[in-house]
Amino acid sequence: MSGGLAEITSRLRANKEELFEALLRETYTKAFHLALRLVGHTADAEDLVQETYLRAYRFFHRYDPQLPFTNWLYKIMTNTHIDQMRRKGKVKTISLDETHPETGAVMDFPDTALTPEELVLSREFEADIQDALNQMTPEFRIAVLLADLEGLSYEEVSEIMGTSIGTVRSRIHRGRKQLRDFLVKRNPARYGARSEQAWEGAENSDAGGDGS
Amino acid sequence: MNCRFISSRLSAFVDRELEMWEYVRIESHLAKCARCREELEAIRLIKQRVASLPERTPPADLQERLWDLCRRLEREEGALLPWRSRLFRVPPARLTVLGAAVVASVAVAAAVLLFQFQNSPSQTAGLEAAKELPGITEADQALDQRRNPLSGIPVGYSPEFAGR
Repeated sequence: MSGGLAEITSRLRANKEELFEALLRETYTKAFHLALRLVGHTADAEDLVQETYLRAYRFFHRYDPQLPFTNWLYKIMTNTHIDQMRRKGKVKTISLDETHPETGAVMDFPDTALTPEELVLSREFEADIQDALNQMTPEFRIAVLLADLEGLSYEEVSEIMGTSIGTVRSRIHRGRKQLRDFLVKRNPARYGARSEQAWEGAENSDAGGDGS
Repeated sequence: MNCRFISSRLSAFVDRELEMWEYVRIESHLAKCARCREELEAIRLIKQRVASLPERTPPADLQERLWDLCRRLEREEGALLPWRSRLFRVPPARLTVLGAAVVASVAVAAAVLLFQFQNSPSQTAGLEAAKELPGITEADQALDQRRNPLSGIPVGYSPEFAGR
């Protein structure tokens, strides 16, 4: 009797391990992508991804398979990110020429079809936007990235962030305003000098929606 | 409907996250307001730029390292079946801490009891004094306690004391 029970328990664990490994294999590239944009640096992104998967593994018994695994994972990741930001107490600056911490190799760019000039411009855009993301309020950054990078609906973002849809709407809008303000300040010629006036209405009228 | 209200809804407008009546009103406002149209384009551009951030390739060994860490967690904590690990497997480090906490609690409790016992003059002190007097038995003490102080007649006098 006890031998049979032990065998079932061991099979249950083996199955869960197998499932988790498959989920990890399917999701880690996307998870790294989001983590990199959240923290802005490869080494920090690896730390975030690592902590996220360890928490996910530890709490795998609480995962409800009716929800997409990535949404559950992003919930863990964004909470971990906010925890880490609070621990560090500061916003880190990013390095524009990222190299792998161990191999020293420069990270790959997938858009190799571009001409050298386009590639330079593309890298500059990317660096500008990443810098702007790094300067944002973490909650705004998370909301904007979940909506724009991951293409999630406001409802999904609200589930992940544990807030109302009104709060999500406000965070996304104010987040985009922060992004644009930063870009305009950094490079008015490239991103347009007009900023304050056009966005003026967004600042206060939606403050009531941010009930968190 | 003024520009301020429209402006606060433009992100949700771009994201197709509004009620139908809001679309109708915003579209009719946009048709006649160049400033809000300009802002709408700015929001579209920001959204598009964030969406088109290139996906960097993760380090080649990341997946393997992540899985190794999970396996280590499983070996150390039995994380996948937590009910089992909690019942049967407490990590030695935690066991030591738990043991130390129990010993400390018992020691503190014992010290408190001892202190109270030594400093309490009531009940116990009376008994100690009575024992020192010669010829007084426990039955005598019981009788004293039962005697009515006004009449001198024992209250609830019973035959068991009659023969004394």
